[in-house]
Amino acid sequence: MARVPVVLTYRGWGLLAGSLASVLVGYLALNVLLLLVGVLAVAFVGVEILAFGLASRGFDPGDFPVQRSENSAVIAQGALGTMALQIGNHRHTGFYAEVYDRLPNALETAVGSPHLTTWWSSGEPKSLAYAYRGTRRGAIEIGPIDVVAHDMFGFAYRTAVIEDRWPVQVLPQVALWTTEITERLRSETVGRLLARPPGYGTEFRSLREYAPSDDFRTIVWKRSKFDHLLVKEWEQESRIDVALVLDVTRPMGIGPPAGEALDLAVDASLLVARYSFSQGDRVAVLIQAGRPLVFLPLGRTVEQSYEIDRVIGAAKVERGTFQLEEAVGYLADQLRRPATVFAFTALDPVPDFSHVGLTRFRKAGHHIHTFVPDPGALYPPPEDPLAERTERLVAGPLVARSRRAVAEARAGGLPVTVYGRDDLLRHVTGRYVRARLGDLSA
Amino acid sequence: MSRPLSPLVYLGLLPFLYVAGVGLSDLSSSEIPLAALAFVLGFVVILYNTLDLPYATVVFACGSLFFALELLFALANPTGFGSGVNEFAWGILLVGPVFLYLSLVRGEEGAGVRLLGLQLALADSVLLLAAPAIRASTSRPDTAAGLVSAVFAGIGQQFAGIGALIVGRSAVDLPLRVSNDPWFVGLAAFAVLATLLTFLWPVTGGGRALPYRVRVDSPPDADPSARALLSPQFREVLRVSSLGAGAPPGQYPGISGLLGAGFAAGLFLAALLFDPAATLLLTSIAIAVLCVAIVLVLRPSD
Repeated sequence: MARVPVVLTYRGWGLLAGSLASVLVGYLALNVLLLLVGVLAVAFVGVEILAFGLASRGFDPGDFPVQRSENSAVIAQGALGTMALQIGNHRHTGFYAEVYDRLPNALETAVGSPHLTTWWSSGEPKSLAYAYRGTRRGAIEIGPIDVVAHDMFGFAYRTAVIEDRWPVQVLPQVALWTTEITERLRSETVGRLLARPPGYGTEFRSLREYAPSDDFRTIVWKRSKFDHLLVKEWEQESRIDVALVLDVTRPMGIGPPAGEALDLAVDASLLVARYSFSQGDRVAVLIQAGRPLVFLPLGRTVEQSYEIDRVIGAAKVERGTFQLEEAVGYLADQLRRPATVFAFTALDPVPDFSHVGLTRFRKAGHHIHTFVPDPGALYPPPEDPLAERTERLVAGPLVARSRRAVAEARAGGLPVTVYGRDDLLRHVTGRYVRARLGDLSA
Repeated sequence: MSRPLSPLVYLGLLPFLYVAGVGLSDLSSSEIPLAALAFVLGFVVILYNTLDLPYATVVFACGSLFFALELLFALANPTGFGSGVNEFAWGILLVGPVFLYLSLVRGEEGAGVRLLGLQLALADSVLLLAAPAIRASTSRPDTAAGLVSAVFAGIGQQFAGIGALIVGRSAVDLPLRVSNDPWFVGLAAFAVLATLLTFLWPVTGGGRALPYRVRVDSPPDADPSARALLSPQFREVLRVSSLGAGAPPGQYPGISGLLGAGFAAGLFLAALLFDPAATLLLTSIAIAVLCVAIVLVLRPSD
């Protein structure tokens, strides 16, 4: 196994070079005082580095067994997660150490510290404990752990990287900011739900007396008497099947940090998913880049809800191209009943409308709503004219390309909604309400 | 934005102020005022730059240009511009060690640069102290002009002497070889100690202080209100987590370097006492061995 090397710090190199240069000045002067200063400096720096190198010989990540506990696995964005870890020390000598549990930028420390600077005696375990907040959604890894051994004066160090990582899922904080939207959705749909006409659906409503126009097969014989026949009354279907399609190719990565087109799509997808679950709808998810990366079939269980949160929350930009026609063709094969599909895609490349997948999808009676990011509306407005001109110059070709794709998609009969940095939820909400009401009135 | 300097840096100025005092006393009473003025002016400009006061760079650049031109005038024609030019030039030369020391010993400079700055300032001081003897030995006039030219002659003599030693000649003139002034030696030792103390603190390579014989409190919470949101169990885990601690009694990290330096200095002085001729050779061999050992320690396949 390759050993951890001694590395001289800038300070160490500087002092070594400075002390050798001092010796050189002493040689040039041939003066006892100046020579003595040089010799003192070289001996001090050199012996300190050598002593550190010898004392820390065999420094290895295996010397430091790690045990993590009290750890969060899933947290909501902005919520607190906790981490506690204990690191043993199997080395025979003590040393000055800096211990870092590497915290990615998506997490920020709130309480305690993932960093410790201390003298570390042989055999003594050290423990780190801290709480952090998730600032960005996604599948994030805490770690590895760096144990840096220092000499006393900062001349040299050795770093052991302990490959111990802890995965944390940071879910988008939709619960808080969707309250108003879900309430609006509820108020707009409740009245329509109550006004649903009785008919031949799958949901039982009540029993009533038989009328001559009723189908004979609807009589409930067990509850009926000879002179009082009862029939089951059914409601039209109130639940819908929702499929969420996420394009996770590079064009969806455009936008400012934490406000990328994909981030906005993730938030909107989770809003739709959670509201649909609250209504008892079945939800499916397809995440695609080049090929289907994740497909969760229709379901309405708590486990399905958790799994959807997990896979959508962890969506990140992947390599590959997204072909909408292939994605919907795949969905057409998977969905047995007509479903409402919400597709978030950059439409890059433009779909091939003659593709068999799209034809199959339409024939199966599915409805699709496509949401396409507008590269020109994802960034906050520039602060000065120069920045505005620069942005226009850089983003101009992208915007033009996106607009051409949207125009072609609309010409091909695809319902497309273009979104910017702060209007996607409004668009999605509107489409979702229409989808529900449209299904109910059908 | 002005920046404070460690008091140790100011203490390190003592040998150079002493040299300036000795240098001024080498002049006749009529020559002293102009030389002292040049020294004070130069000192103020250097200090102004060191403290990074407003427009420090501009003041320092203009001052340095003026002093450099003045020195060039004095060197180009020592007798042609009147004695004032030479008196002023001697004052500028006297501020040279302060310039070397303060320009390179400023807070943000690396420790190695600081050490080199101190060494160069000491070498310059030795040269200035040797100037009267060089003036006398080379029959230069007993004036400021004689001292100024003696300084540059001394540099030439030193390099000529080193060259002669290299080619094997024995009787050579090395004006920097001896520093007989016990006050200067004492103050120089004090300056070395002061400079060493400015960077001999327990720190990491990144300059973060290491705890030494103390226990360090945990850093303040980034979000103090968040602690209340944590479970009592985790608050207890936080409470008992490790704090930064110093080495326990009986363990002295860093002592090896100091002992090594003391041992090397003792050996050097002993060698000088018993066999001065072999001292340089032994010192060179020891430094070479040390460098090879460091290279071996730094090899990745340790």
